[in-house]
Amino acid sequence: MDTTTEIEVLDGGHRGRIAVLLAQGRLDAGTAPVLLGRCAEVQAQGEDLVLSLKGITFLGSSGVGAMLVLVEQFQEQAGKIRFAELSEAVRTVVDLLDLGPHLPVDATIDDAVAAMRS
Amino acid sequence: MGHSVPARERHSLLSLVELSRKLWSSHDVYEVAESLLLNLMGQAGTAQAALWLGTTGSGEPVLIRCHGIDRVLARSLGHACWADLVERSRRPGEAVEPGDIRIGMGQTAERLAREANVALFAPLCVDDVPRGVVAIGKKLGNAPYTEVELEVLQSSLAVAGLAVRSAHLNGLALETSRKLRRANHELQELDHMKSEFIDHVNHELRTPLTVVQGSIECLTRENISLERKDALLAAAHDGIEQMMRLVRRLVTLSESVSHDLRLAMRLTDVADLLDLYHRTRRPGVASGLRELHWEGQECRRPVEVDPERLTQVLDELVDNAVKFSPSGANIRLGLTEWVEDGAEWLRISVEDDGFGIPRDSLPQLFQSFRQLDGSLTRNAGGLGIGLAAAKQVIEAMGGRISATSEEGRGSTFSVLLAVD
Repeated sequence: MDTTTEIEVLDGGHRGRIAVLLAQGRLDAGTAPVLLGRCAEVQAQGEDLVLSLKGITFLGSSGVGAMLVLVEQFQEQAGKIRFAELSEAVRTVVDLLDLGPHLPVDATIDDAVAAMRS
Repeated sequence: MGHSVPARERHSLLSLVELSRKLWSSHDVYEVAESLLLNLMGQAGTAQAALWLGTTGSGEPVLIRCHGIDRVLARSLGHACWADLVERSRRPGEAVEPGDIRIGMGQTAERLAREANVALFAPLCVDDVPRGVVAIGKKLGNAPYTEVELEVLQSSLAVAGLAVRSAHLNGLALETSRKLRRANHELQELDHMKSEFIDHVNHELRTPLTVVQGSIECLTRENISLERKDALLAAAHDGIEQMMRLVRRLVTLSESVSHDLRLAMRLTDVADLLDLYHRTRRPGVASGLRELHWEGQECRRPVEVDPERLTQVLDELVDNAVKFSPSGANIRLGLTEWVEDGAEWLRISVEDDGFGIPRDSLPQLFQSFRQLDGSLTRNAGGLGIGLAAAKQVIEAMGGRISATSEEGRGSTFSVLLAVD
């Protein structure tokens, strides 16, 4: 069963060297590789990333794992990533696992960009 | 009256369902490993996880995937803990804390685990046979692992163990099938050569044989003159000379037929060909705990090639890379645009981080095996066209093939295909 089509990762434009991506749909074991692949393309360009999760309707464990791996991967390459506009589904799981203090999260894309530039 | 499941435990249970659904569609052990680790990290809320699988034979662990742990540290950790953890996993599986590791290097293992921020290890078993070990980091919120979480972890690893076995068997089956197809193809080619050969022999030998037979029959009759005998002997001698020339020609013919390069050239998107090749070849390579990577999907310039012959060349290069690299090695298939001697090319590269080729062997790499020891046989023990034939194929397509290598670091084979 191919579930990779249950996520869309849309181009949200650029703010200088900061790429913005908009993830929509489910973020779980089936779709995490799609998100990771798209983010890897941004990293390959040497850009930083703001990832909006406003459109995420379901966050599974693998989706959480993908978020943690993204932080690791960008840090390894001396890049930056921030998550913005967490949806209700994402916020619930992040709070459940006490990950709030450990993930770079902002309320809006503008806040995330400002945090990156500060 | 229903009982509500605490939210955290519900999250763990749903993680198990999510993992199970994903693993049934995973095709190779690296895909299984990545899916498992992402899921476990998200289950627990930890930033560290690693998976090692044991190799057959030596039993030494191969680091398949790790996150949040330096790879060198992870390799050392795996080697330090493996023997003890495998021994433990022969008993009904349970998670092991680093402090409980009891081996000759106990303190080293515990120190490494502390450096890696590992909270516990857990075995990956199939049919009670230890196949691998997973390490999980401390939770980011520093809360301890609950009993339910540990139970779900064990169940997750049980599911993953089955998926690893399935992926391994799938890879082996694909590799076996590929080799059988190649063997069948080569047998068909040999059969065709044999038929051509027999037809040729039948046609060309009949005439001189008839002359020799007729001459000898006449020579056995009585009352023939010396002059007649001389003429018959001369005819028989000519017939035998003709047969000798024929045999020499046939030997040459068989050599040229065995290297017969009938190419079916057509305009081909090489990126598509390599993409398909990677997808079909990767599980088989992974079954030997080597990972086949592919980069260059965006390189879209059609060139004139024989796709089937090019695939044979790729088989040869990847087979070499597998043969000359240890478990845990990476083999990278690449496609880039290239300029050489003022001309434009597409460059296919097959790069491994294996044992490398001795410097004095490099110049002879693409020579026919015949030239090394005078025989006509191919490299012993392998199907496939051989590097010498691979060179012939690529050059017949108007391309070039070369290799660079460093002993102990690996090798890179490059194929250049002319763009115009």
